[in-house]
Amino acid sequence: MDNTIKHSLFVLLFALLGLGFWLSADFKTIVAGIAVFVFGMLSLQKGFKFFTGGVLERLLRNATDNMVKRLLFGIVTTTLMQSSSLLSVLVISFISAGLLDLTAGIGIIFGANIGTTTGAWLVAGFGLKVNISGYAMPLLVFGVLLHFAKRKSYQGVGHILLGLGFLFLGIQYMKDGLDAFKGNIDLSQFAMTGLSGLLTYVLLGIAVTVVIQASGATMVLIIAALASHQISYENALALAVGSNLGTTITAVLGAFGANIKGKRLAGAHVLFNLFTGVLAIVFLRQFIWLVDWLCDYAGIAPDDYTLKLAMFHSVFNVVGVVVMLPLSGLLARLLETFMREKTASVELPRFLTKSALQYPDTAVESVHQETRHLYENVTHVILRALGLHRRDVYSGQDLTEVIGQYPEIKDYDIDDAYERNIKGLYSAIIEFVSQARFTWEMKQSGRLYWLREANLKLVEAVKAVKHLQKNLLKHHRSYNRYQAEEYDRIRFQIAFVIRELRKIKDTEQVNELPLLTLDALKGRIKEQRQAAIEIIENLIRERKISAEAGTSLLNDSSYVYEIQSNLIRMAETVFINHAADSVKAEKELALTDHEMLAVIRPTQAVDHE
Amino acid sequence: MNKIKLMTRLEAFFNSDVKEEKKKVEEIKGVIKKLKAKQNKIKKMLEVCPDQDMKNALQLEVNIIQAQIDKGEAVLKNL
Repeated sequence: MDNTIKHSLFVLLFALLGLGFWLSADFKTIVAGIAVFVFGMLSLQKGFKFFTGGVLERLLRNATDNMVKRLLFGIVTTTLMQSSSLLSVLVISFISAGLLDLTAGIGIIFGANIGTTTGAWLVAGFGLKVNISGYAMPLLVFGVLLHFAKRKSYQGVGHILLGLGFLFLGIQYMKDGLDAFKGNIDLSQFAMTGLSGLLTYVLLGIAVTVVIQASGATMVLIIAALASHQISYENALALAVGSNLGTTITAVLGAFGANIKGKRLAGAHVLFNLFTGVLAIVFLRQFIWLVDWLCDYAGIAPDDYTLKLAMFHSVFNVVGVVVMLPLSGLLARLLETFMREKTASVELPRFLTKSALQYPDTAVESVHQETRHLYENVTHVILRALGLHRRDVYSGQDLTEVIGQYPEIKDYDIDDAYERNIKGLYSAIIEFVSQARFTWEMKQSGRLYWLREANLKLVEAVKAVKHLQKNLLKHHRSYNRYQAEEYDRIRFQIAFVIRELRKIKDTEQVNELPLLTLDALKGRIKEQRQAAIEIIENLIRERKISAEAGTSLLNDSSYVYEIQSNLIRMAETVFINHAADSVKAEKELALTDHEMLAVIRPTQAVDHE
Repeated sequence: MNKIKLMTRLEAFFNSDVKEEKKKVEEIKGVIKKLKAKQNKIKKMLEVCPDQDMKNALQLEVNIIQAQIDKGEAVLKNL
């Protein structure tokens, strides 16, 4: 539904733009100017990214130890880059890494808000008063030349020059478009006064900024429109306030993909801009008076409305910072309180209790039960990574059919599943065993040792499936059918072991030779491994798969064996009742590795001798 | 405690190893019997199995069970 709305809005925007282009050539010039300007901003950001690995990060690390430095850092870097987005991303990454706290990040973002206002000064003071496109041309030429250089730093400078060139070109287009537009349509006839005018133009400023996704571009558009007398000074002020509010949408959208720390910083950005916006709306008269006084003091002509607009943009942001800066600590605490990290629902142990620690046999049984619980979670994770479900694997249905039912393997987040379903249980078991095992007699202590090892095997199996998942996702739908078949075989072999272990787990009570069945299963996985190596070597030899694909398959068959053998070794400890007389007898008949090899590969067993 | 009871208890004490061995033999025999039954069951499945891969897997299981039976019988001989 969400995507449908987005898609519809996108189509509507395209349609409106198409209609506008058809109706007015001047509109086309203005919109092209915005597009070129935004492209210039992106290029500028890309250029600065070439240097963020060094200078910017060093500065951020070393020059932000007090609030004044943080503010200055935000002002200077945003002035240079003409966009707060890149700085925000960098600050978010520093906060996430714990190199910067939220209060410090807020200080930098406050500075960035002042820094963005310098763009209006440059455009109003320089961009509209000279033929700016004359400067754009050489910048673009040098930018393209440097862009082709091999050295990264030159490429970075190339992008910055290209960015500036496009910014200048965009400004010129907007200016020209609005000048020509005036000849055809006089937008100033739509000028509105009073509170309704103020609010209408604030909303218009928000809307334009949300569409363009760059407040810098909106400000240039407002200044250009003001310079060509298409809008009144009061309405331009309202638009500037709206643009400041609209830019928070960009911050909110950017924070969707960020972690909670990034979201908090975006929250601070939103609150700051909302506060300054409301402040500017409520005290507009006072701000206008202050701007007039400051312009008079600075020697700006009373009718130079573009510079007065730039002054207004800076003044209300500076006032916002002055008011909000002492509250930044409080703001950080507020955001930390209300924007809490959603803790993933971690599965808790079911059988480990403090009281169980007091009785050795109960403690051993508790760990035993908890390990079985962990086993269930582990098999769930393994099968999901293989694109299968336990209910199908545990059913009586033919496994090849089951695998055929799920030809598509979805990207399953094993790390997340590990955190939620495995790590908590595993840690609890290890903690319980460590508390218990040194206090009791040897028998229970030895049993706990083996149970701990069994848990380790389960975790190792999950780690192996994580390694396997990478190639499985990449190649299971390969156009090379031999490769795809091998990955289906891998899925079958792991699912088969899990199905067999389920039978052993369920038959332990009814005494169906569980130990010797495991013995046979061990033999089967050893044989499968040998067979897999031979099959893969044949496929490479017959050029049915590439050597690279073959080596990946060989590595993956090792992971398969690791998963299988870890699960079987766990089952030997957890699913077999070693105290039962029949199991003791079974032990006498269990095959050694050499005896097993003699069954699987008689010739190899002789070679070993 | 009368003499007969005492003698019985002493005999049981001195024959406990033999008893345990006998029990072990019985247990192993029981396991071998189950293994043979299992092997026969798999052999029957093998006869009707149409899939070659499955056939190979079943044959391997039959061979492993046979090795386990052989080992069990060797253990029985030494007891």
